[in-house]
Amino acid sequence: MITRRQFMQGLAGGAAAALFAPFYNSIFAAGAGCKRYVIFVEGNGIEPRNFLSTAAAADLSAAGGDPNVRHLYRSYNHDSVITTQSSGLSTAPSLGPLATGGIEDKAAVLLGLSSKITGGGHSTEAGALSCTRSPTGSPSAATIDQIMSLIPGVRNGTPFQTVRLGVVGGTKRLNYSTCAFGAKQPAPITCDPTTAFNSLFGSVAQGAGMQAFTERGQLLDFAVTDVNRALATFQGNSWERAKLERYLESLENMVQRQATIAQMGPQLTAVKPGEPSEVALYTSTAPLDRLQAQVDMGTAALLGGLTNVLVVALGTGSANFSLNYESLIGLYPGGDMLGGHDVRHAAEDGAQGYVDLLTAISDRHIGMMAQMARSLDATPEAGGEGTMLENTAMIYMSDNGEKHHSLAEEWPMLLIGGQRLGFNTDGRTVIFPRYNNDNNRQVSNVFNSLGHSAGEDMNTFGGEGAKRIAEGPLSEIWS
Amino acid sequence: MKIAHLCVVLTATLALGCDGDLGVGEDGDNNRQNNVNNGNNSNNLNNANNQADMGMNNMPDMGGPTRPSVASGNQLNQDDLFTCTDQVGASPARLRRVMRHEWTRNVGRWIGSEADKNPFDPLPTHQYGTYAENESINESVLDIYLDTVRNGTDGWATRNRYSAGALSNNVDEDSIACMYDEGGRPDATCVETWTRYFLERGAYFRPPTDEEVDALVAFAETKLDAETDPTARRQTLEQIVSAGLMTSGALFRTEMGSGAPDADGRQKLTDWELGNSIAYALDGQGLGSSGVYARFGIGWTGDIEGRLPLIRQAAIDGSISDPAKIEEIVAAYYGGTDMERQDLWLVLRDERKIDRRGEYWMATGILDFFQQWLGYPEVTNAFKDTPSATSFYGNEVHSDYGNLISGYYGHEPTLIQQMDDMIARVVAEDDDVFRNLLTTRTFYVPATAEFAGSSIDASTEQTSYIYGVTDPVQSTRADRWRTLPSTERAGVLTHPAWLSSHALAFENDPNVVHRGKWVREQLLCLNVPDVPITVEAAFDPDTRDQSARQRMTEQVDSRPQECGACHSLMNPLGYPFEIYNHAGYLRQDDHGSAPNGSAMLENMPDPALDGPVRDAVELSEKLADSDYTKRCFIRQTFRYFSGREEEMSDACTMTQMEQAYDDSNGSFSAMLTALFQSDSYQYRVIEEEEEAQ
Repeated sequence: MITRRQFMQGLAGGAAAALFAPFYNSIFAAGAGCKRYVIFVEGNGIEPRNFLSTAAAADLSAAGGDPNVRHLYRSYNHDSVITTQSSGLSTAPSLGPLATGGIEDKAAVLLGLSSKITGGGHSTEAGALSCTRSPTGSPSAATIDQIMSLIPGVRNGTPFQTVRLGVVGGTKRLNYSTCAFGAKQPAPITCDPTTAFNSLFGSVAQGAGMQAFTERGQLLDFAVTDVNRALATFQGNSWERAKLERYLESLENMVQRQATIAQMGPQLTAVKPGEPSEVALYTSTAPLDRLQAQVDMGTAALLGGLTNVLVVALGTGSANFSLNYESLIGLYPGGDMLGGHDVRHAAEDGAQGYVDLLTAISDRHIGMMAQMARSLDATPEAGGEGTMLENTAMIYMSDNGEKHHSLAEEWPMLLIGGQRLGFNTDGRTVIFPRYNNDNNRQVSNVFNSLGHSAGEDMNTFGGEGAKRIAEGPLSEIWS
Repeated sequence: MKIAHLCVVLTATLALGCDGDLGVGEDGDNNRQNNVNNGNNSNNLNNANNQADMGMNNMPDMGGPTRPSVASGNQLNQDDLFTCTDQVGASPARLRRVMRHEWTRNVGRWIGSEADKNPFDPLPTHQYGTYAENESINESVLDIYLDTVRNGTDGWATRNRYSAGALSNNVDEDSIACMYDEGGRPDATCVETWTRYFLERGAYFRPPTDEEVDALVAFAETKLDAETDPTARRQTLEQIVSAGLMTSGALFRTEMGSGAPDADGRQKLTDWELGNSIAYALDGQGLGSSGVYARFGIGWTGDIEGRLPLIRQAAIDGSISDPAKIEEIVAAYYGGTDMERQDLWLVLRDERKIDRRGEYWMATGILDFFQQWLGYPEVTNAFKDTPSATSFYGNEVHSDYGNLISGYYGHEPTLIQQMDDMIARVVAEDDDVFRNLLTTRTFYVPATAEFAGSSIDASTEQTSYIYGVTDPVQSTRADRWRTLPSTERAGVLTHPAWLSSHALAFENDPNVVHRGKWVREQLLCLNVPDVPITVEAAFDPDTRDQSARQRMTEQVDSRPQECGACHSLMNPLGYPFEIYNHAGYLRQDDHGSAPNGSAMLENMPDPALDGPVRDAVELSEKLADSDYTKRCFIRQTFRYFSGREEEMSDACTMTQMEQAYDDSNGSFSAMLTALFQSDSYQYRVIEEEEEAQ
């Protein structure tokens, strides 16, 4: 029979970090300032042209490309990287929201990145964030959010290793499609705003929320005692015993987290979003409403110091992107609501009305991301330098690449903030040569750049192996 | 380098924001060195391989030590597996975490209810959701469960017969009524009586130990002491019931066995363990749980003894392991004909839908087995571009296909339910079940006649076209049962729900591979290697105007050196299904050519399968004739109902199941009975430890 200590030693990094969440951060906090990472992931493709500003389009045209074709990456005719400084990002079809608050000068756009390893299709599932081929339900490796949250200087004392929020079509409360603790271990994304609120802000909620927080603590204490009693008499072997020990560790960590959150009362109260009983967005049937609630929640979690790694998933996963955007009904051709899958399919076939609708959807998403950025930009870094935005690298990307049935040859990305982490987010647009060119670069290089910004060499992140074009961070956006 | 994870508790100063205490202990330094810098020239955050060093690729799904790898499932030689010599059957002594729908039923709620949003889904790596290995409760699961558990308390927090959440084994039991008296605080005897009863009937489904009762009584007394208003008893009881449902006994049932080990080190399951094992296998819920609630206008669907009272009584009186008793139990709860379809009351909760279903039913667990084995519920997740493409109906039936999936308009059964009913008929008839599954031409199709000219006809009038049935189908069970042409359909593998589930979005996608892979792995019990990570498994997008057969032939089959090692295992078994499109419609024209389902089967594990096949109909008939595939079916049955993969030590159980099946002219219930009677099912052994890593 192995001991509980041996059991813990046998645990792998990802699980162990999660188990030891409350202790881990304090033990390993690096102390070199805050480092935050926020990843917005849009399901089923981002139209590259939506991220192309007027100035960048001119430079692309001058380099032999055609900025007017929809799948513009296929027109790329350049062999060296095109960098358009101060490119006026808000002139891009979906980037208008960046104009407010000067966010466009604290952002950058990347075009031309490939990630063929993921396989493309409707969704690459967890492949997008792990740069691997990851079948549905079976990730091949930990995703970048998990990896970043394990870096000591990133966790930095926050109660939640990673907060994952999102919306999906239907009423599922959890989306297991996009993030992963490790190989074959999907990490759930919370798709119900009320659940997210109770988990993150229950300790400072009014009435029922606070009562629920208190009762939760009592339940946890009772269950801890119960499982310890069960373990004391358990006769099975270590791998059966591990099931109970795993449960016990989860309970103990939740107890610890409760205590941590309780200590954060004043700072959480200061940033707490509206109560579920007061905010209609939480239970709206319109996905953009629920997304707004989730983005508000994520912003508050960052401001309140609940986490330093946040994922916002927008209909990600092959089974989840068929959203009906009720609040945009006026933009649907003919005013007819079409299922999300059919909208994207119609756009794929070139129906301009649906292409425009997708542009508008991305615009709304970007608007919420920009809103989060402005909130962070307006908040000085406590105990650090600059604003919170300057210490927060935000990424907007898709979970399959460039379109509905993606070939994974083009992964448009928007970066905001993170200047103090080394990111050159100064309004530039960077267009890499297209896939199959020696100077093409891969999504894994971006994640690699995130790692470097947190002080970690992640030069070979991703599963490309021999198909890796170049190791290391992208000098065009990080230095 | 493996990380040697720190397992110490430090008194750490809470570090929040950027200015917290950043002290790093000595062990922490070591751990960080291992964890992040790896002591090597490359950082172990770098890539997939190095992530494995962190345990991120290869770590067990729920963390912690796992059972040492034992050859099992498709790794085994089937001929050897069905050779009984001196193998001693037994399963590993184990804990089985409750599964999602089990928990829902145990608390008396219906599938799809708020309670059903509990997080106890099985690990995605498990072929069947019944597998117990590595199933535990991680922090994310616990987080969600804490938000869900209250949704399971209705039946025990109130005692109102007319509440939608009322449980028969609560409201009909007078001895616990005192706990619900809002006139005053219950006394100690009442609390103890209620607690013991609740744990047995609502949480553990076995008699609780005194320690378990004492612990919850103490919690209950605290809560009752804090109660300021007895009329708020419901809230008090919600907390007490929640606590009970948080205990290890409610979340993990034991299959450890008891008594002195026999000469082979085995212990027999206790009566309650065996009773619960059979109850969960057959009905997906605990022994004696109500699993039912009042259905207004119809009355109780159960009584105070809960569902499956025969099993509970057998656990109480010790007759549960008597072979005759097991036979009686399976016969009672297996399935049959029921014009009222009482089994659906909890599932559909809408008489308009129930009346439209077929008259055959099968036990919840049996239905779940067929759904998981055949994988046809996946049809709801499978997007279809132009569902009727290349069929006889052009693009006319797009809305009808959507309605077949959702069942939204007209209350007719969905495609999944149509396949459920088709299988239920075969199972209920219980004669030559495997052959009939693969060859029956009796399909349950949706009614259409009543919708002609209605406001919803665009979504309902052509739903039966997916079967090739174009004449009006009347809204009677008799008319929905249709015998389809012998040249078009034969059994479950030609059912549109299966065909659509195992295909991609386009009619000329590589559906050959998906369907062929399923046949090889699930009907032949043979493995197919994973797609090499360097392979871009996709057709050339510039060939989208070609048929799937042409694309596959020219882009894959023509490159035997690169692709043949894997695709030769799948493609010949997938080509026969090319007479159907990606949604299961029979093709009329396949890109200018007649639909072609021909294939040449070679090197099959059963030589009788070798040779040409015309199409999926002939393939199904050949598979149905094969004893080899029948044995694979037996293995699949074993896996689901035993909650694990078969191993060589199960050889005698396999032969007993086969014998029972053959002797009964192909009775599935006889085979299931043999499994429940077997040593593999009834005995447990605590496996020896290996040195911890």
